[in-house]
Order: sequence, then structure tokens, then C-alpha cells
Amino acid sequence: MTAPNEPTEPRVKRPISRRDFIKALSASAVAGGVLATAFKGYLLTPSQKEEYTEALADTMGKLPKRRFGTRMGKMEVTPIVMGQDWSSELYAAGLAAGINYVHKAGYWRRLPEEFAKVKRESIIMEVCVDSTPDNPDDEEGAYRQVTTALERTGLKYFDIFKAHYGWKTVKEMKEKRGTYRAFERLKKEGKVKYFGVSQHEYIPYPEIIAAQIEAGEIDSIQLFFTYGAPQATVDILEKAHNAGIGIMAMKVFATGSRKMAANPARMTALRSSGKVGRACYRHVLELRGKNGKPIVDCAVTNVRNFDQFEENIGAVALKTTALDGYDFIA
Amino acid sequence: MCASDYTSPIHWRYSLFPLSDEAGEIIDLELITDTAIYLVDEDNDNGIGAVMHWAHILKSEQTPEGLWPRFVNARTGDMSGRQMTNSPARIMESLAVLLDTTEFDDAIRRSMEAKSRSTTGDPHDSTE
Repeated sequence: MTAPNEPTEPRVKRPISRRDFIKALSASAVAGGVLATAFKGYLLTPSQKEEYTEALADTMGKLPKRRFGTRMGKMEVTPIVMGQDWSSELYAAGLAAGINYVHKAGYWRRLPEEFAKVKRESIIMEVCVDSTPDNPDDEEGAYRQVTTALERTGLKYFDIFKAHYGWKTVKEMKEKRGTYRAFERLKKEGKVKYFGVSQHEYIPYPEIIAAQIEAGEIDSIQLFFTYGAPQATVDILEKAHNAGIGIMAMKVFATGSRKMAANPARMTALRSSGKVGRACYRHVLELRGKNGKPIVDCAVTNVRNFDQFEENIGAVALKTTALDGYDFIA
Repeated sequence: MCASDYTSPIHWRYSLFPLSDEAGEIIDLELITDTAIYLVDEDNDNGIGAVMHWAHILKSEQTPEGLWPRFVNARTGDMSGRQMTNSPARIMESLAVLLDTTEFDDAIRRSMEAKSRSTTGDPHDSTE
């Protein structure tokens, strides 16, 4: 019996001397190697983490940007975005890599200092609103969730109001309008800009997403999407994207890693041998529709340590893709 | 303490939850809670990702009374037996501290209210 996703870190970490830290940092940087491996098992001091973050950004390079659908002005996102529930020690590394979108930013108890320093317009902050799926008529609850999140974080607005979990039935989406009314009120007050949904698959994606395209109200859709997704899901996503809806994939590693690990040939083709996470993200982000445009604009990842950061974010970071010999077209 | 080798398929209501065996569909949310708390306490970075996913599903499966069925069919979401529990709130409390997040505040509050009703003999509480 093993835990889901086998632990890779030793449980007790030991400190590393200044001299050994510099030595390992220089050696990894010169070799263009994997920094996380050099420091596996070490407990870094805050200043060592800061230096490490700088070296990491330098080794991996920045992420390119892509248009996020066409319904949200000229909004551009990095192909991989971060979440509020990242390990906070990775926030600086994410920002240094140029990541410009925070999923679930409304859940912060206070705005982390790394983000307080960033120019507000340069980063897309999203608030997840939990009235859907169980109480989509709770207009006041949805409204209050956003206003209290703004008070706590000190932000003036969220870019995207995301109906968290999405709807359980098409009928409820069409008839129980409280969540959407809350969005309209908040938009009028300048507290949110665009309407998104994080749609879980309570009913098959082709059915609920077709209804969402038809409704014409949703600017971005986040959904479970990964390597091995059914063709019907790929097709409906292409249709949604062609309708201008920004598409964000989630659970890319969690739901695709086993299938990907079982296909070394695909991993090799993605220039990601031995790096399942990197392969999963590349697979999803390189998918193209019949018009040659990406189907998935971006993917949200959940990274909890530098190892995962290098593997996942490295899927599209400019220097890492060059080192891997992988031609990623933003 | 460890989770299962088997996880529920993605299209199940309780997707990617640990199952007792490949054919089993019934999960015990108190056992899931113990596993989750273990993974959080161990600071197992990869395990925490799974725990967060479980917590998100559990949040959306909380009953209006603030509780959860203790035994549930992971495929359908149907309750198995009559026993209710508030143990998943412990997972959410651990994550709220770890992630400095408000995400679970409402679910934790509702669970505490349910617990307080049970100690005052509120007939709506169905904890056994």
C-alpha cells in the first residue's frame, strides 16, 4: 500500500552550510541542471531560498504568454498559472518566471507580500465563488463572498468571478440565476470584470459545455483535462475556444500522470523522458484545433516544492524548453 | 497509516478518493479523514495535493445541516447506512492553517454549528 503520489522528499531535512550551498548552486547553474535535485533533503534558510529562487528563474527562463480566449479584451496569460494554495515559498519563483494569473486568489486571508509588491494591472486575480453547484440561487451569499474577499486582501477588484465547481445540471444553470445576478451586480460596481466557471464533471462535459457555449455568458472555463481525455471532450473544448471562451485545464497531473507514465514513447516525443508532470503539461498545452490555434490556453498547476516547480513549470519555460530541445509554440 | 493503491475514477462523484480495493465503491469518510490528516501532518508535499482535492469535493458534498454521511458510495455519492459525521471538517481545519486560506471557513462553521446542535439535542442533527 502506498500513499497517492509517492512521497519523494526525505521527511527530516538538514541545514546546508553557506559554502556548500554556493558550491551546489554554482555547479547546478553551470551545468544547466536541475536545482531541486542539488538541494533535495536540505532545509534552506530564507536568504538561501531567495538566492535559490533567483538562480531558478535564471536557469529556467520566463514563461511566454498566450491570449486567454477572445471574450476578455486582450487578456494574455502564461500557459501555466499558479494557485493560492501553492506553497507560499514558491510565490516569488512563480512571479520571477513571469506567471501572471492566480487561481483562487479570493481565498487568501491577506494578500501575500510578494503580490502586494506587484503592479495590480500586471497580474490576473481570480475569485472562486462557491454558491454553485449546491445553491446557485444564493445571490447574496455569492455577492458577500466577493466583497469580503476584497476587504480581506485589500484588492480593489478581481479580474474573474469564477463559479466554483460549476453547475450540476443544465436546467439549474439556466433557471437558477442567483450566482449570475451576483456577478452582474459586482461587475456594475467595478468589483469584478469577467465571468468564469470551474466546471466539474457532474454531467458529461460535452453536454454542460455545449449549454455554456449556447448561453453565451461565460468568458472562461476551467475543467479537468489531461492526457487521455476522451475525443468528445477535446471536440467540445475546441468549439468553446472557437466561441472565444478562455480554456484552463486543471488536474493535469493528478488525472493524467498514470496514463502518461505508461507511455514512455509519448514522453520521449514530448522531450520529457522521466518527467511525467512536464510531459502531461506539454501534451495539453500543445494540442491544436483544426484552425491551428491552441485548444487549451493555460493549465493551473499545484506545486508544493521546488522539485515539482522545476518539473511542471519547466514544461513551457523558455530556457528549459530550449534545453530539452522541445519546440513550444505559444 | 497509508492511503490505498486504488483510487476512484475521475467520473465518479467522489473522484480520485482512495478505495479499499479495486471493486469497492463504499468509502468511510472518517478513515479518509485520518489518512488526510496523516498526509498533512507528515508534510508530504505530493500527498497534500491529493488532500486538497478531497477537501474540495467534500466541501461540495457537505449536507445543508453541516455534516457528511460517514459511509458513502464514491461512484454515486449516495449515502450508505444512516451514520453521519463531521470529521471531514478536521481536514479543512488543517488545510486552512497550512494554506492560510479562508476557503473552508464556511464549511467548518457549518460543521461546528451542527456539532453544537448535537450537544444541545437539536433533533435535526443526525449524528449517531
